[in-house]
Amino acid sequence: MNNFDKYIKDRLEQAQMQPGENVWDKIAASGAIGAPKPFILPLYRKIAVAAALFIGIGTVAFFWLKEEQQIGSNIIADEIIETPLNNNTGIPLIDEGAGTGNDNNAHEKSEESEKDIIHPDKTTKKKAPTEFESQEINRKRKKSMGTTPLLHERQMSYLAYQPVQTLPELKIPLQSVQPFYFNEAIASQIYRVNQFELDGSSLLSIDPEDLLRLAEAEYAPMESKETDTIKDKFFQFAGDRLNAFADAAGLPWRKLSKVNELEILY
Amino acid sequence: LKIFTLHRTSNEETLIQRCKKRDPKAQRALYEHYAGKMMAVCRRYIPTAEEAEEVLSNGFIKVFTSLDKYEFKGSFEGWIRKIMVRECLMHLRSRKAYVEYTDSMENHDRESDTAPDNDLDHSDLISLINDLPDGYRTVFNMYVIEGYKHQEIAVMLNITESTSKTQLLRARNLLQQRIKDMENAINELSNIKS
Repeated sequence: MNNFDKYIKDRLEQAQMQPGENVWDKIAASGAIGAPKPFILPLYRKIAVAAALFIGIGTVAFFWLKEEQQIGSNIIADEIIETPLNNNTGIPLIDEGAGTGNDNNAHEKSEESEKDIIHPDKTTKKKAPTEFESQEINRKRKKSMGTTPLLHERQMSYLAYQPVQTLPELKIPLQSVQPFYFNEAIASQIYRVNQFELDGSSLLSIDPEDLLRLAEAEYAPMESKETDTIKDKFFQFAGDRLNAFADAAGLPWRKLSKVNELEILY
Repeated sequence: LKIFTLHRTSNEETLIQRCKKRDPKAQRALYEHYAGKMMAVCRRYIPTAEEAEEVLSNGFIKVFTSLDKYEFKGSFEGWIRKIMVRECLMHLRSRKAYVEYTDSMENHDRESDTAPDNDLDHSDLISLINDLPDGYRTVFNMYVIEGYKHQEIAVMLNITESTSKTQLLRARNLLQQRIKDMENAINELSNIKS
């Protein structure tokens, strides 16, 4: 090997020229290349994956059940709130004839303050809900399903409307108003009276016309028959309550005539 | 990928062992590591790139299928290179390319021992070698670059030793002449530019 040969060898021995990708494709297609190993998950990985899936599904199921339970309890709570209560004791008013363990106690209480007991509607005893009531229940149910926090706010506001304990006989418990489907504006007026005007004399500051206007706005979409029924209930309630107040406070009956006149108008 | 695969396998022996077990990833890594060098080998024997790639793929198929015969004696690169050279020779034989072997020395066949002045690129050199007649080119490659002896070349090409020597001498002279021509052309070009 002479100098020329060395010159050529030095330059060409380690020379590289990249072939095209088709070369490997041909080699791979020839069968000389081993098949890729099938993807087999090791046992511990299988267990880990199964555990992760179990925990994930379990967590989702747990929260779903919890949510369902919460919705159910909200509906029940809503229905409880709608139940008329004795304004003094806070005990739900029980229909006559419906026997419970509190019968005797309720009877005693009713004897003590018979005038304070509200009889929202004796005709509603165990009767099927009207179409409006069904719609209202459905509306509340939908609302509770979609906006649980709002329902919670409502409940809290109802609690805030609880009558002050110092002059319970002068209070109009909001729970008692609920069956009449008063709107929030009316409820707030009653609350204002209960909360700040404890002498009772300005209970009459609730403008009957305002009440009427609010009631009309509230009941406008309703069937006239239903509206009349609810208005009747309201005036019965309002009359009873104001008369009871008048008796307790020794106010002249004439001062209450505005509301009575209102009742006469309808 | 080459660096990555080499780093992963850490040594050639492990890679070869995995290739023996027909691990496709290892086979791909081995191919990636040697494909460039072996393509250059093939291009020195086979003038066209398409044919060279065909020979290269056949050579690698043989490498992978006969890897069990490799017993870690000697360089693995040398083992692959031998397979590639044999594959090139088979290809040339199959197309009956190297038929013109002359074993008679003529007066103008004088040996020259001068290395070129210019530092030519390997692609230029391969191009010049590819322009040699098939017989010259084959013997020149086998003797000068692969390091075979004339006796081995004679056996492999089924020619006499003297024929191998004659082919080498003529190939060397022709290549030197062409390198000189190329150098002159480059010098002229540079003179024109300056």
